[in-house]
Amino acid sequence: MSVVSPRASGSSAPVGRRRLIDSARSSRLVVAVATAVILVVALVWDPDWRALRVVVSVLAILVAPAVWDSQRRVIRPAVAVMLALILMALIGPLFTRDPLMLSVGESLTGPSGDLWFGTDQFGRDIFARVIHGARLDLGVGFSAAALAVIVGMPLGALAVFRGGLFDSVLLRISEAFQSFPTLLLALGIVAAVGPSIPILIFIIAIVNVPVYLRLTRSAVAPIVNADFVLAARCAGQRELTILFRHILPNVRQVVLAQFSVNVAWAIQILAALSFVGLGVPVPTPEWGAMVREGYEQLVYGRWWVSVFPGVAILTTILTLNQLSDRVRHGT
Amino acid sequence: MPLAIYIARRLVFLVVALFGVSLITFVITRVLPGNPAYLIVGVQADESTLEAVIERLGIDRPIMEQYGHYMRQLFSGDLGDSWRTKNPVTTDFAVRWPATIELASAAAILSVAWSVPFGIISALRRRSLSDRLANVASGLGVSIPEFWLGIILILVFFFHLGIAPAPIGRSLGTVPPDVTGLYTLDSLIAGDWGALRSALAQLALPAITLAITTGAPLLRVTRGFMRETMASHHIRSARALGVPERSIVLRHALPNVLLPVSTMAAMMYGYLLGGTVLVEFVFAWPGIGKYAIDSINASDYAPVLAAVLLSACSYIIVYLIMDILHFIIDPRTRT
Repeated sequence: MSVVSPRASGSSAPVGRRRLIDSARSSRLVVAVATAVILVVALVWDPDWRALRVVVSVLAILVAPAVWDSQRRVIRPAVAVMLALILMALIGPLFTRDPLMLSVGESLTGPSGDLWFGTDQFGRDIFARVIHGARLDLGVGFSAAALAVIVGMPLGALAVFRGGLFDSVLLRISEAFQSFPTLLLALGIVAAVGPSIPILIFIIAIVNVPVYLRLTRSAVAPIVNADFVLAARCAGQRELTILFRHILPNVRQVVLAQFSVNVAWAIQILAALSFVGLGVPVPTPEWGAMVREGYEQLVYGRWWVSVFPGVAILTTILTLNQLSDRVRHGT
Repeated sequence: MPLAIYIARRLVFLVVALFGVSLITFVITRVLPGNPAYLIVGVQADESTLEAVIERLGIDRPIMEQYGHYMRQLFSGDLGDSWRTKNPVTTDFAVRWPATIELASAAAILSVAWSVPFGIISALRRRSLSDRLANVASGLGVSIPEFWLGIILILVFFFHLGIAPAPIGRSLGTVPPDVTGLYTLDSLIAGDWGALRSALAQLALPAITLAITTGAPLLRVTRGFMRETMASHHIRSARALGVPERSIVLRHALPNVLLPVSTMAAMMYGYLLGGTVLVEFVFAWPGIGKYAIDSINASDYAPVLAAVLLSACSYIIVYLIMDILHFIIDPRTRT
């Protein structure tokens, strides 16, 4: 999340010359990435909220300054909304009703001062479900995108490095993958393996690996024979060291911009799979599944059941896409 | 390079790509955990049916032999049988494929119709109202989940305004005599205006939904290329020579922009042929996508894989056709 770095600009360093990486910036990046990783793990695997509180406090202290653009003296809206969403996912559930609590007497009541988003057909609080859904959707989105980067980026770089047959085989495979419509491919795999949250993460990651592979490949190709790489080679460094220390740092901005888009994309795939009934199991609060439940209520004019979770999906994806534009243009 | 050689080379690529695609679907079916025999006959099937299917699929044989068998089946046009409809998948596809093509084509036409002109106009006037509008439209269009957009459109145009017909598939009234399978074309051929009206009305909302989501990236790309071209040296030279603005845009900039944009549009169309799944589901549109989802929900597996394979192939073929057209239109690709 170097999005938050106010000086993450100047990506377009001339090809063939190594950009000087100032140490403050890269340490901030390391901290941000580490936080993001802890966050993801915490979001998905920690049911007791213990690690979460720690992460939230650390995160809040770390990234709060990033919301304020000191040069232009404005708030960065995309960063602010994203932080709000992550906070919502992390600590929001502590303040809401139980999203699974059934209440027959209150079923399908419209939005009111008490129940902000109304209730669904089982009398469950939609507001609580939307807040809880953030945890799952963001968690799966971040995990899937992170997994795709972790696999795709080194593979892409390696493809350039090795070249020859290895490169062209990898390229052909990823081209073949990319000629499948993402959702249909995911559907096919889910149908074969069966849905569960780790499998969903895995599937969404698989269909996204070729994106990073090709992206990294195209970013690495022009610098693979640059002077600084040759210098490192002359200095007797190992190939893998050269790859991870000298080459990959130069492509991270492109990859980060893509990462943000990819999280959005992953959330869309998850929501879509759940919408058609192949995602998360039924009572789990997930935005796409909630839209689906509300779809059946539309006939009776009960719009709130599917409109609010849809707004949540839209807001999240919009924010992530804006963030990506930010990173790409270095503002 | 002569056209014939170019086409031959592209066809070789086509074969390689199709080979890759078939390999991936094969891996999904046979190599992933889970017994495909169960997926095909369903868990309720008795022992003998199961064994017959295992025998027919050859799951007990070595993997390379299985792949050879799979390829032989594909080449003989056998995509398996649907357990739910009791038909060969190819028969079911023949009925549903036109519905998907009709929806995808209508969506593609609408999408290009709004996004390309909008992109060009907004690129010409930076920071103007149209530029800002284009920003908002492309930002929202890229981000909005299409199934939700479809629901919102139904809510507004069917429930509240009552303009659109009920979202229950392709036609409410009479079905025109089958010629092409596309209701709009068929009713035109038959000269049946009532049927045409009904077909267009049914088509409107799903096509608009898809046009909004697929048009947004196209708008971005068009605007980007147009800006780039307008800032290029040859446009500057034309300005310096006193060429009128109108002719700069129409004669000097547009041809340069429309070429890459047409490639994008073709890619979008190829994507749409397999990407209508969610919208088909929302609008109960009886195409390949809805067929695939209904099949998955009934644990009927062969149709799903066939749909995945078919959509990938149609994407590759649309892309190939576009490439060849490109070669014919653009002299720069012929070096």
